[in-house]
Amino acid sequence: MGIFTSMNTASTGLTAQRLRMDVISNNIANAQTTRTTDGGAFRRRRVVLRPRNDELEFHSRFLPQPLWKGLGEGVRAIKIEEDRSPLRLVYDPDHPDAIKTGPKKGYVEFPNVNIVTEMVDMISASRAYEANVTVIQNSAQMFMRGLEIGSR
Amino acid sequence: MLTPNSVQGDLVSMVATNRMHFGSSKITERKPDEFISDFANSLEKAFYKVNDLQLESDRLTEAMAIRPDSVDIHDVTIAAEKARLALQFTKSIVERITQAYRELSNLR
Amino acid sequence: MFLDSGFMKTQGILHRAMSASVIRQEVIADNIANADTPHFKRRDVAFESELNRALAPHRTGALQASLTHSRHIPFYRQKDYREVTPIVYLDYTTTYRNDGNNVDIEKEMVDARENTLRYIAMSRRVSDNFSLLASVMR
Repeated sequence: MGIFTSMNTASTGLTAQRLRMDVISNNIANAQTTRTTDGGAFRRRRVVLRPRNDELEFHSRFLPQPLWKGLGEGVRAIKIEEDRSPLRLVYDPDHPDAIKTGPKKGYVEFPNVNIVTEMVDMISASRAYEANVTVIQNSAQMFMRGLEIGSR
Repeated sequence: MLTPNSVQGDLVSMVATNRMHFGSSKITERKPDEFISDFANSLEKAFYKVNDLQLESDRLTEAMAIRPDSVDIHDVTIAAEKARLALQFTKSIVERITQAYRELSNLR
Repeated sequence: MFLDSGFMKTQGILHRAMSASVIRQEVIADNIANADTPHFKRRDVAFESELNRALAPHRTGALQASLTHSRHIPFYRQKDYREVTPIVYLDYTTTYRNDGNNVDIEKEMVDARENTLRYIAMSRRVSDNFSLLASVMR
């Protein structure tokens, strides 16, 4: 296995956390976007993460994972999905994107992005990123010291 | 006298060949040729052991070069150090033996 | 040769513990990389306590079974320390967040640092022992 597998695992963590940061910053930047090219307001996006060797898993709150003894290989993002929770409605009949007909006449649909939630996610992502960097530094230090064994 | 099996780690068992030897109460008769062949066998086994250590160190070093994920770095360095020490040990023993032989043969 | 001696037994124990440390580093790295994955449960490595049990002197107070048949299994069997291998186990007993994940990132970082320092200490001991042997032979 070597010391390099832990570095590879930590690098998958770095990639995943950076992707999360990108998605979060996109959410924050588009927090007031009422019209997108697909029509409708911008919807909050989030990253779905899974462990890398995932084939044997079933996800249940009550049962543990199967007791598979192999070493994990890190994390990967399987998709970036849109949050389907309801959009924020603001009454503003003079807005260019106000709804013209129907029961919600006069309302503008704003994105379902909550800045506070995004800030908390951003802090968590950057903390996890730093933790992965620490793992890589530690593994490199272990390797250098293991190399010094015969050399005095 | 030392036999190939009499050294177990740091315990050395001796064979008593004379009434006045300390240790075991049984006296076994050994001819001088047997002493020499025992010693030669011990030395030969030691040489094979040194060679095995060297081969193991080479195998691990190659594994580090070809498939780095299959071997830990401390395995490689520890095996290299063991091989080096075994070789150095054997070399100094052989030096002492030849020196002793030369001294004994120059007594006359 | 000198490889079966008590001196080299210490080296052997240190070597095994260092290999277990490398495995533990990998498991901790996996925990940290999956710190935000839903339903992920952290894993840990059991080695040092097993080794301690195997190296402890024979328990004299242990209950002895009387074995009357060749296929009877004794109650207590002294385990050779060379048979102890590191075991990776799942920790699903601790509490978890709403998404089913139970990784505590700060604890994992501290464990990683501690693991690294122990590996460094063991490699230093191994190196010093070898240089001790080398100095004897000059």
